[in-house]
Amino acid sequence: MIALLRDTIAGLTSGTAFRTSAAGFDLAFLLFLLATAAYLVYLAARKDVWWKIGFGASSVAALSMTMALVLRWVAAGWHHPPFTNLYESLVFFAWGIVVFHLFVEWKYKVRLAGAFIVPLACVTMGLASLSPNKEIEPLVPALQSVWLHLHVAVASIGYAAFLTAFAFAVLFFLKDRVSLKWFLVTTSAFVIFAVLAASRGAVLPAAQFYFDLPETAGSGMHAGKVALPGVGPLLLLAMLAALAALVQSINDIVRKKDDVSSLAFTLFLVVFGVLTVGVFWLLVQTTRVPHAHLSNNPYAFAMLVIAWLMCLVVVIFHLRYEALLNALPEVKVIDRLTYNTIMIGFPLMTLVIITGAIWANKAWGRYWRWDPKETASLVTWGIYLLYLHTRLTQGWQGRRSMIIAVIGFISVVFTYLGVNLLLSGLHAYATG
Amino acid sequence: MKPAIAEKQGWVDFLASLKVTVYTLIVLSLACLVGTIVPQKGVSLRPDVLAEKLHEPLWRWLDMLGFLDVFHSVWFFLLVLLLVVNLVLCTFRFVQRTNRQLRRTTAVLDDAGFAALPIRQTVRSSVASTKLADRLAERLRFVGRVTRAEADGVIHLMAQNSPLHRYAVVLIHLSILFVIAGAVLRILFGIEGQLLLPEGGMQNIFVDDAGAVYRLPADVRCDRFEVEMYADGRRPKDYRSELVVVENGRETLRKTIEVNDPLPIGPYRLFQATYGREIFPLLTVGDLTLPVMFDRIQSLPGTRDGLRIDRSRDSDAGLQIHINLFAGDALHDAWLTEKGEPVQLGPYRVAFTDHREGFYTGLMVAADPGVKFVWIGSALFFFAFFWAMGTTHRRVWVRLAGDTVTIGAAARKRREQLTAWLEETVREMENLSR
Repeated sequence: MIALLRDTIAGLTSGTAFRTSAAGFDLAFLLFLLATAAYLVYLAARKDVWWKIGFGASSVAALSMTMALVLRWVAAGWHHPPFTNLYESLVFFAWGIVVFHLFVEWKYKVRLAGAFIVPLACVTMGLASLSPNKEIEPLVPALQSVWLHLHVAVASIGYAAFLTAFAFAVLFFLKDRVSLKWFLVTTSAFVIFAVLAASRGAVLPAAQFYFDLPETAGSGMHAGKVALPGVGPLLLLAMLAALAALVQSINDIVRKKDDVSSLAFTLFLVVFGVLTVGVFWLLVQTTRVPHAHLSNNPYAFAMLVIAWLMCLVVVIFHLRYEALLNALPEVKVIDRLTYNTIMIGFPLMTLVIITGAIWANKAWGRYWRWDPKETASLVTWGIYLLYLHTRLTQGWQGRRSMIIAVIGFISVVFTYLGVNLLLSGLHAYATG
Repeated sequence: MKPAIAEKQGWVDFLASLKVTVYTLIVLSLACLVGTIVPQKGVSLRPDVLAEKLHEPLWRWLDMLGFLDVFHSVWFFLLVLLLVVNLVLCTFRFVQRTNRQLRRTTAVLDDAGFAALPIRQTVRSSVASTKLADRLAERLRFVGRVTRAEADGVIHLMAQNSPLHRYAVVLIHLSILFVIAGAVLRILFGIEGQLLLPEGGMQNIFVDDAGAVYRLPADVRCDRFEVEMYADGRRPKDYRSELVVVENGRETLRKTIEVNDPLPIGPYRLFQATYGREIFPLLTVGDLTLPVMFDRIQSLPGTRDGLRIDRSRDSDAGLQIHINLFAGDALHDAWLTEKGEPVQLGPYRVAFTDHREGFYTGLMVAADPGVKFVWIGSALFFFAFFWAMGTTHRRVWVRLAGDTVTIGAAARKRREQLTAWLEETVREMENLSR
């Protein structure tokens, strides 16, 4: 941290906006890590000092990022604001998340929401910092439009609003005494999904886990990927434990047990433990196996980290259930907050679509192409429209509304990253 | 006759119901999901790949069901149509219902009316009715315009803000219809094609993806084309074409276009899309010499005639090209030799004077008569959304019968404001009583 501060000062004094900006982002990432840890401890221990650390670190991170973004803009010679490739987009999204989060905490005084929002901002920033290409890139002519800049800026804030609404939805389900069995079911299912996705299915037949190699290394010998010894079996074990926890939890639900059975929770602890060791071992292997860099496999790693964080949160939920319930505001209040954040996100999402259409019309003479990203954003918009419509005309509230908010957020994630990672189209980021 | 009408009524009710809206939206979302995940013709599926894939039965099925072109399939169109019908009918119903309700609103409300209100309270007061009524009327101003009625010694008060707020929702629905109307106009009358123009060339013909030929209302000439590269020399920073519109031999418009900055000609707009380098034969027709692209229809300036160079060969006499020339209904063709004698093709004397390498500018030509509707709809949506969300129609009734005061209030949103107002009013009445 001190080294970073020194870098920052050195960057400032040497007058290179770009280096200072990069140091600012690195500093923000470290602060995010600190804030994440503090918020998670706060979730478990409920001591004010931890919240203060978390909130303070997030605030400084937001400040640092704001400065770094401005400096990056300066470094680009004011030609274009810093959100034109995937790296910049992720950084700007993380900025949107933390700024929105600080706003919500300051305005509504719901402290626990940070425990879900800040870790996601941290993962986003981590993804950004793993990006292989952080240079400021010259823009191809099609991207030189004020509408594009507006489009991306509004999208980041809008998505941040939806992410916050999702965090509120999680708090809602907790406070509404939706049995932890359901949290166990969804988290176990996510662990299975994350392990399969991160390993691209390789854990199943051969208990192997591969990392993609950078294009320059390997020279065809390894067919572009390299196995990380030991990681595969660990993740497979975590996945099988998750499967067992899933089955046991569903069994509990079917038998209408009041609470999480000790067997299900023990299995879940096994999942958490093995996953912890697995992620740790993966990190160890990246230092041992030549060319196995995280930066070539950011999404695989992020998936595992998110799965691990979810497990951690659910374990905390289980151990501190009653204390957390007491700390949370009334369900009606959380319901209202979710509505408020979606009411901020929805018009922004509308603007995202409209500015994108205006830009496309100027660039290609066609405002809509049914490009995968456009379609996905329309679906996202439709889901939140459904949320508002059922609420305002049918008086839907509570669980039913929250389920729509959760589906909406899944759709946001698909729109933002899924489309780019899985499909090709107009929105392919200008990454190297 | 009666059952038939009732049945018809039932169908209309069904089509206007929220159930249909929700299910249509869900099915449309699923269709969009299919359209996102399955490669689509013209977006992510190249024609040659498609031709190969169509040998597999699965792909043939996908194609037959329209899954390879979801957004232009008949069933997708029908779903949107269903949504439009639903939207129109439910909006119509809403207006009817609201009108009826508003027309019935009077200051006098009976017990059943009060019982139906979401916020209500009954208080006893020892203050004289008329004095209390004046006081309450004063407080009711917070809500809106106050009306007063008296019958059989009972005083009725009613206050409401603008009932127009109710209709903001209608505007939202209307805005969505505007956008859909724009899209339909585009599908029906929109044109999109490509025009490749060599530097120095002139053209009034362009071709769409399906190969159909369209004519611009005037000739377009490209006087200059330039590319500016970034310092790395690999990426273009900017490229622009200096275009001139020529009508009946006279220049009517000159504009340098670049990406994101098109040129309008009549209903069309010309967009800078791509560029490239090629070798062009120079043809002299009459007293005009033009660079002409291979294998593309070239219009003869100021006319509806055109020609196409379809083959070339080397001969002892030099480079030769084969020309098809369409003049009126007649088709003429000939081999022309470079720097050779002009050849008479119908009314035109054509010579192959030279060839040169140069840039061509790739223009996209688009006409979209619906785009204005889309923008109007978008702006309207925004305006109406904030209107609908930021306001609510509030109504409060008060009945003073002897020492009993009944107060009731209704609002679709922000009821907590009215509840707070009511609590304060009741407190004030209690103070007055003391």
